[in-house]
Amino acid sequence: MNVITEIAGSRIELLPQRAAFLPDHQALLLADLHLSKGATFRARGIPIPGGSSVRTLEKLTELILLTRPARLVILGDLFHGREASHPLEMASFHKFRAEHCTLPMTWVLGNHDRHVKGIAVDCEVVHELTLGDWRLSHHPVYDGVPTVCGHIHPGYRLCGRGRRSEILPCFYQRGLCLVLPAFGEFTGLATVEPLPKDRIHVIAGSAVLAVPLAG
Amino acid sequence: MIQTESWFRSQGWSPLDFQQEVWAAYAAGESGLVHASTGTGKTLAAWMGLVEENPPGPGLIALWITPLRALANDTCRALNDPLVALDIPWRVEQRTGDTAASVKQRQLKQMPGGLVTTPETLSLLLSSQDAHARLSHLKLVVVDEWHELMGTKRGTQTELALARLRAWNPGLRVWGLSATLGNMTEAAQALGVTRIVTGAQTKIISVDTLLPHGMERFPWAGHLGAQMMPRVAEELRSCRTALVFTNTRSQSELWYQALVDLLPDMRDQIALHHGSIDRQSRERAENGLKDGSLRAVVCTSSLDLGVDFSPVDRVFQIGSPKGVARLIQRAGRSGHQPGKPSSITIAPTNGMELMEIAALRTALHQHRLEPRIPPQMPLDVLIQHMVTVALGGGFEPDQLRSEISTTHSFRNITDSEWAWCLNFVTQGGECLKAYPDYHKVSVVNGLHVVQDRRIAMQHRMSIGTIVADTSVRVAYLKGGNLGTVEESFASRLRKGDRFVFAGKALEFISLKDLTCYVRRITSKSGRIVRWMGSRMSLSIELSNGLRAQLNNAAAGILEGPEMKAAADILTLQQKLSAVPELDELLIEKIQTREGHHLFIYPLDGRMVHEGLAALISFRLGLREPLTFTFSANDYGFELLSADPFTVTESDLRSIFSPVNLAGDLMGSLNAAELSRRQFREVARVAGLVFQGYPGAPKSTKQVQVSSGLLFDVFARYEPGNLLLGQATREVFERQFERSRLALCLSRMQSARFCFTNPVQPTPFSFPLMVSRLRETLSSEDVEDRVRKLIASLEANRR
Repeated sequence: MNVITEIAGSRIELLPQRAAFLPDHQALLLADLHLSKGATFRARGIPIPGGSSVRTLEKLTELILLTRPARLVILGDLFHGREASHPLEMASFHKFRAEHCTLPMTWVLGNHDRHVKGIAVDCEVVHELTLGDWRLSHHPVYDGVPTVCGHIHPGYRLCGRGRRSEILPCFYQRGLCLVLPAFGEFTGLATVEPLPKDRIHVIAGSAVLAVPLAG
Repeated sequence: MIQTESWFRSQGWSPLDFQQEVWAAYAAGESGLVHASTGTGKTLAAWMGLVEENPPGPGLIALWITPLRALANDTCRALNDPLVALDIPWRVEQRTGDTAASVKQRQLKQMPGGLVTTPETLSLLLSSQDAHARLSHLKLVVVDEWHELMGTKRGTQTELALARLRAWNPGLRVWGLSATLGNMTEAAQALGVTRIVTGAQTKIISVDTLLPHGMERFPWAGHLGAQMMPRVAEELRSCRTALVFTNTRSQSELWYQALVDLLPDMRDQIALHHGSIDRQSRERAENGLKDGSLRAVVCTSSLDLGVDFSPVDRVFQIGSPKGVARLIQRAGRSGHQPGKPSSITIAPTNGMELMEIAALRTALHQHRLEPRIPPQMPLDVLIQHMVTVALGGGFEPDQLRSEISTTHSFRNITDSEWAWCLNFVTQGGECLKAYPDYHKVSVVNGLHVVQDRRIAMQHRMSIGTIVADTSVRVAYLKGGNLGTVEESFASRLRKGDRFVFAGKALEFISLKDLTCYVRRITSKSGRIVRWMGSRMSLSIELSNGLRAQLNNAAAGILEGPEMKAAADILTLQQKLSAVPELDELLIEKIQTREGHHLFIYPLDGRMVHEGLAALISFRLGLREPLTFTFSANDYGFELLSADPFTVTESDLRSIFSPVNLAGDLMGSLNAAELSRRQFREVARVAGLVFQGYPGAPKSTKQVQVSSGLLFDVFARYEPGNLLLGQATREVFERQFERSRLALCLSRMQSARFCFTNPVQPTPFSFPLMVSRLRETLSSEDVEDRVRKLIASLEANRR
């Protein structure tokens, strides 16, 4: 169950798979995959089991088959650390690209991506991208230009009656800037504390739900 | 024992029987465990055998392991006294986390004859390349306050270190010193000794309770005891020296503040002592007690232990001590001379505690002491030890395996468990065989060693982390250390929050590089952040006593001053609901604006009740989709649902069934995420989580991860990881006291039910309603649950 919302008159669809879709551009947007994060840990002597990167890419494939986008934009932190450039690690990514070789992909660089400078990836690599009225970046920018970005890994704590509470991944909008939830399997949540005018959509199972904020 | 006896005479002492027994056993090459009350001469019993023998140096001949750094100073002095008096050429020094780096360096070049150290620092010694050379002249290892260590993973760490030292020093004698426990034989086994020496136990302990003047009503809930502050202050005026024991550190802070405010003329004669405050402040308090310049020290378990503090004339305990053994330990701080009685004055903090004190007195009278249960095979500690040994010269797997099998903890380790651990430290576990990058421990010429300097450094940094939560330094912006707080507390603070720490009102500024920056404030307004330590659960002995007291009360018999003081509360409880008899289980159902509450009172301690609450909400949830919030205390637990639910007596009988207990507990655990939280400790000890440290290179940020996320990744991609199972086992055994829980459940099932529907919260239910530690367990799917949450938010806006 997706939610279609508008920012400054441009439509954007929020997907429960922790991604967004721009219908006017048929573009699938996602942020913070942190591929090969486990490998970075292992190289430091911390035995994280493998599999999360492969699963992240499988999820992406499922999402591509579901949404049939004309282009794919990664909003930064595609890879976690320099261990991603190890051939064993890159194999699953190359396989993914080969399976979707007709799908144009743009990689907006994030702060983690500096660790893999010069890695050979079959796609367009930019620091920022403009798509119609949209600016697509990794870091949030609050300057009045409609922006979709990542970086924060936003999570929101919902509290209700009977003192229940739950932290859920969310889409976090402040002004014209929309922060996507992190897409990667091995990523955590940073709890955000929105201002009254901000907008929060949480992901609950297969639904995206708007959260009423006080004020 | 010619020298010893003449020294004793010069001090005006005569050796006690048990001391002579230990000396003779030591001379005969034996090891053992001495248990006696505090302040009865255990230290000299364990020490003088070696002094008399006076083995020639060089090098380190004695290790004295103490659980608390705070004790190292006094112990060191007590051990050196006879050495000086008898002109023995070597000395004892301390080596703990508090020891200056320059001193540590000097010790590594030239070891003193004796070292007083902690289990962590001993592990660090074992991790150095020359460990074997330094630690192979040992004659004696003493493990002091073994009762404190044996029930913890630090005890396991000690067991493993002892196995190493025994292997290097075949004639090594190991002596443990312990307070008396309910399971002395097991305590000796865990230490690897057989001989048990019973020391002086003669002290008579008298317990009295401070009751408020007049007919002031006791609060129903809370455990800070604010209403008792004036009473205690008043009593302190007439004491020469007093210790005021509290159960948590935040409570000690509050009490210190209050007493200073209430006794302005004694302001400089009152001090605060707890495990987190800066060492110098702690030492000032300890010395002040000794030289008599202080009249009162407010403290936590940090002063439970210790060598002969000069006795104080009065000991106060704020709130229930929750166990008989702890009561005896604390009372022992007074009248510290053989033959003199010890006494302790308890200031109850709420009405229920009055009844606990009555139960305590009975249990004390019958000398029913609690056991301490050692952890069984904590693989995280083993994994840490394996890396430690790999650093400290390396190991050959078969040899290390037989060494660790000599410990009590790992005596039953199976081939496959051992193989898994070995695999884990060398290859990172079964799943990681394909990852050539992984190398924590590598094999060089048949020896398992650590080669990577960064891994070595990370490991040494994390050896100390068995203790507790990662600690964060508290410091002023302009410099000046105040002590440490748990990271979990520090990370909850927001800029501008106020809290009281080390007796000072502080405002939080920022958290950076594991330092919590604060500034001093004078204003007392603003949000005060409470900082909870771990809370202790009611012991089995006390539970039984409490049930008996309530049984009497139900029959109208109120014995002793405490039960009489609780009469008001009991009468109201009887009027609104009921006071349970011995074979009854009290169940209350109440509806409030918060929702629908079910209260059940098995009186079996907070830990068991937390497990029961999870279990029972899980089983209720199997029948219909419901979300429960629950809370638990020492007397019972509460299940709270926003939606109405019906539950009959026969429903409850089947819900209390012991059938499929393990499976259902597991189901409820998964949902309640308790093992996920327990994994935090396991992951830290096993070296999976590296917290960084002040000034750590930036690259460590990339490998910082929450243990919760790690748990999820392991559960999904490596479900066979033994550390996951261990986290679950630890939750079962340590958090829920599983065997006690099973007993409790069968008692509940066969009990007569006393079902009431009070129109308002009762004295029993009120404390649960206000308790803040709440868990959620749900059988609804996340989407429905969140929709409801949002609907209730919408409703609130209208």
